Amino acid sequence: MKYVGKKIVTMCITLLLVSFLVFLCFSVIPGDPALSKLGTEATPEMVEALRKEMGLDRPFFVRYGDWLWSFVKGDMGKSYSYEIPVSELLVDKVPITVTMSVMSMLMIIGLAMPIGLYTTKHEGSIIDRIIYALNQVIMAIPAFFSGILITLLFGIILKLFMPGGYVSYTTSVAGFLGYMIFPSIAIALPKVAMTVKLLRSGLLGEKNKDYVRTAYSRGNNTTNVLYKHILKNAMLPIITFLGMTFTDIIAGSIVVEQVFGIPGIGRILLTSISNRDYPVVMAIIVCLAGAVIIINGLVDLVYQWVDPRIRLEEAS
Amino acid sequence: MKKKKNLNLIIGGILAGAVLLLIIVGIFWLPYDPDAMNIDLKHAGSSWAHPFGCDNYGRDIFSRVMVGARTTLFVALGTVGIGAGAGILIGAFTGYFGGWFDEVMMRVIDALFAFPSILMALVVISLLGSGKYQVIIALGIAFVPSFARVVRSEYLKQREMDYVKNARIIGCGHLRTMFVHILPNILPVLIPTVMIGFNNAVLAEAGMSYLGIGVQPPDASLGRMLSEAQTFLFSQPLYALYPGLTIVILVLGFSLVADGWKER
Amino acid sequence: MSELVRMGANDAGIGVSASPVLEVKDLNIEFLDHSMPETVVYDFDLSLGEGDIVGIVGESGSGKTMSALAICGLLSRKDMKKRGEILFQGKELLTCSRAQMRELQGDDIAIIFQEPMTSLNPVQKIGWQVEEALRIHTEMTARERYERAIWALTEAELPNPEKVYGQYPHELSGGMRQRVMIAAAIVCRPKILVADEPTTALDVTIQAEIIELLRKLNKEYGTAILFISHDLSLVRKLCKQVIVMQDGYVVEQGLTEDIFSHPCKEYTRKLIAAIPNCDEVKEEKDFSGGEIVLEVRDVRASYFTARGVFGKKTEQQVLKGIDFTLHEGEVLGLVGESGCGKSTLAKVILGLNKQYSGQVCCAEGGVQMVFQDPFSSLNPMKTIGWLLEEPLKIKGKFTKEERRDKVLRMLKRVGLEPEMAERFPDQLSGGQRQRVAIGLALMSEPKVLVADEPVSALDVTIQAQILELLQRLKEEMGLAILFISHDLRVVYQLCDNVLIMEQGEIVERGTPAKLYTDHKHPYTGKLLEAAGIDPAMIPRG
Repeated sequence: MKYVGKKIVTMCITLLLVSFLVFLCFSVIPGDPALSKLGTEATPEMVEALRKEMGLDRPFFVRYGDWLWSFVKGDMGKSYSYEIPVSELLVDKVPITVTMSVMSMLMIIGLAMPIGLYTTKHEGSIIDRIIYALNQVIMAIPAFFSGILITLLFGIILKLFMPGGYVSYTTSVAGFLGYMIFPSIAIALPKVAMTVKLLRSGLLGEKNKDYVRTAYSRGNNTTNVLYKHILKNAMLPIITFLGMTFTDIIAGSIVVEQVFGIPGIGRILLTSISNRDYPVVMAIIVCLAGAVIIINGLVDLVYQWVDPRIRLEEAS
Repeated sequence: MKKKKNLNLIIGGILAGAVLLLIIVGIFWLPYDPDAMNIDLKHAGSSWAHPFGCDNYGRDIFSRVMVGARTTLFVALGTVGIGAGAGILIGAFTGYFGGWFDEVMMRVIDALFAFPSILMALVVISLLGSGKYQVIIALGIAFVPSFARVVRSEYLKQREMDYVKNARIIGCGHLRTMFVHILPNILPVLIPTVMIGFNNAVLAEAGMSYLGIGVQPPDASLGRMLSEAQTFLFSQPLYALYPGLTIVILVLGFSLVADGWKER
Repeated sequence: MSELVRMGANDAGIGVSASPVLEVKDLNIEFLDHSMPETVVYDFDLSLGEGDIVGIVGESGSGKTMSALAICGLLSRKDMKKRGEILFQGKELLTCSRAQMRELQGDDIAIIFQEPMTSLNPVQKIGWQVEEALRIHTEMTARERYERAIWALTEAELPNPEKVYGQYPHELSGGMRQRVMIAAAIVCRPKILVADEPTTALDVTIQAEIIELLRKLNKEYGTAILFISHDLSLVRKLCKQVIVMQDGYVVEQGLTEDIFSHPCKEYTRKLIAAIPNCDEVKEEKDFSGGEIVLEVRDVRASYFTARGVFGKKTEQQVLKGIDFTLHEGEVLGLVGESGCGKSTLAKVILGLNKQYSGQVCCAEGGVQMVFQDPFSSLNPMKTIGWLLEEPLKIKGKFTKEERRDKVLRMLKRVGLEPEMAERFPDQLSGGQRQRVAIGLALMSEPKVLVADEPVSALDVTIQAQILELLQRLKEEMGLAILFISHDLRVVYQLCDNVLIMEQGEIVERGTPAKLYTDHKHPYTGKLLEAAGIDPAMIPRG
């Protein structure tokens, strides 16, 4: 439990640091938000008045504290270009991105584990080699290009879905999920390949460890050694990797939403960047980074639950 | 085992070499002006004159791929230069010395690591505006944490080795120990990391240009070409394949070389 | 699984073994992995009767471990070609199916390994691992398995077996882990226990305990033991019969006492001669007139471990007031077991650890060090010549030719060819590397050399050569050496004075001859006993 407590403290510190860095970045940007809001014809008095209204004349740390406090309360500020609260703008976009991330994560775990175990068990077989080669190629395909290829193959040639024909989950949940499968595949594919590769090399690396020889000396057969001894040890780096993969899934979703014309978080982020709609950009970035930090914190907890060595280190 | 040919290294070298050759040739000679428009050749298919066909403005796709690959390579090299350079310095100092400096740096690095690198780049882009050099700076900064982490953990490991203590005992200063003794010993880990970082930089640049926030016209870039091609996916599906495949071959080549390097 | 209660039934059987449990005839082992097939064991023969203890001795690369792994069926069938016969109770093991082999593994044939730190699965509990053979070979219920595991842990003399049952390997010390390995090996009451260098990684006193434990198990349950070791004195202590191996060949075999008293073969004689012994008369030298080159006064050091992020720091004293002086030309032995603080002391003397109180004064010229493991103490990316040259470069007083010349002279001095300068450390043998390490330490012409277990990673014959080299260099260069070791015999041979260290304190000091014959502190006695040194044997000067 002590470990959990310590983890939560460090997570909070990291979160605080992230929010501070983001706020700092957006405070030093060239260009006055008040000025850009009013346009070039504005008189200095008008700008000054708006600055006061927007609270820009106060000292930096006061503004940061204020922003952070309202952020914690759920008030993320008001969008410059849409003139509505940011939270309102984001609330119906979040489920889309979350669905996509979860679907890809499930695909990664569901596909990579059995393939990784299979190739390890049949190391050197023809199928192992084919999968190895395939893996290498898939890892080299960027998510947006695999998105385009999937659109081309499943959308245009096989006509399994209508490219650009996004179905909102408010219209039809089934249609929504059906459409989301394809972008999720695009995100998941390179990650599946990487996970398989890492799992395979991890399992093969563990195979030469001393404790495996001990396991054989007790009369275990190969299957038992693999599942009861090696797998748990080889899973340790995989758990860390899957945590980091989550970060990449989020990054991937921004691009892939664009490929498949999905109005998720990524879409609004890009629009806001080109509109210089900073409150929206800041809110999205802090939220995404927060999600990443929390997920990675959870991954660390899982890790220490699996690896008894860490538990001791923290306890003593 | 030593006699066995290192297939990864050979195939990877050939693939990456082919793209690099295309880029180098492209510096001195191009079949057509990549920006010359010709309305007669709009959406022209493959021909001897235009092996990859022409795009919606009638520009020669082959020439544009050559130029676009050059931009992509340039950005990726710049990114890795900044990322690996700063990452090695930070990682070496934090890993070697440890202590409070390490603690603070690692907190900051952890915080930065929480940003997906493309998100980091987006922040920088939204601050600096888009363009070739902005992308290099944005991605370069975004790549520092991952290099710093790898280098730090290697330095942590090496620092405990007897040869490092021995170097200190015979009178080497800290800097000499760090860079003359330890650095060559982490190369087996560092070189594949740099190659993979290079790949990630290629993918990230292409991704950003695809989103329209990376390299700006008139610079051609493989990512931009893909986003333009997507509009014509129904009418000219092959247009998307050429720039896409160029990225895939380049990245595949380098990742095979990185794998082959580790196997040596 | 064989019958459950077989305990203590064999008391009468010892020594009268009618038919052997295990017979090996003409065993040849060949590596197929390389482009050139390489034979590692030639015509190995062995007969192990019920209740026998047979030792296999040899230096690294002699094929002793390979033979043992072959008997346990642990050599890959794909990469190794084996010819000959291995008969377990008349059953041929080389040709039987893998399933048949697995039935014997862990049930009738068990093995314990050299490295207790890595031989246990780090993420599984001790109890789970001890019970594993039972799960595979018996139909026992969970309750029965638990009781049996506790019995095995108790037999292996682990304190508090119920607690150990629920712990993980990393929570135990090396000695305890080896006991766990033994418990897991005997849990099915095997007929044969193969022990592959089971004590090499352990401290001397623990070593002696493990040997005692093996002897007890053999006596109580009649378990035949095949004991593999590089340490002749251990084999002599434990085994009735011995097989001497070299480069894959069996050099000599027979009753241990015969072979030790009348070795027939040259190699065996060389091995026996290389064992450091304590029967030489040592002249006592007086160093008090000479220059003091190293003085350590009341040195104290502690480690601080923090609990939690904001928790209090706890202090653990590792050095509790160390005092000694080292004179020119003196060799001072520092003896202690792992964790006694000798490495910390070395670090303090060398200036690698600056968190200490007290005084360390050394003569001009400084202190240099030779490390235990010659495979990690030389930078693998640099040539020998580059490494030897570096201290001179740092001093910066020499021209390129002078440096080159000095390097070549040093190579000659430590007994290496000049061509070695072009080689990389991994192209050298362990003994050659240790010579380079010594040469490197002497390049800057120090007055004091700290040698931290410089020979314990080496084979016995090499060990003797390196000790000889140190002795010679000391005389030639007037060097003072602080010789850190766990091996009391080596210390007796080389050192003029000895410090015995326990838990951060020097508990006793004196000349080896005096200490070994008439010790005051019980810890010294324990060390002497564990090393098998009989005070009566020490000649009085």
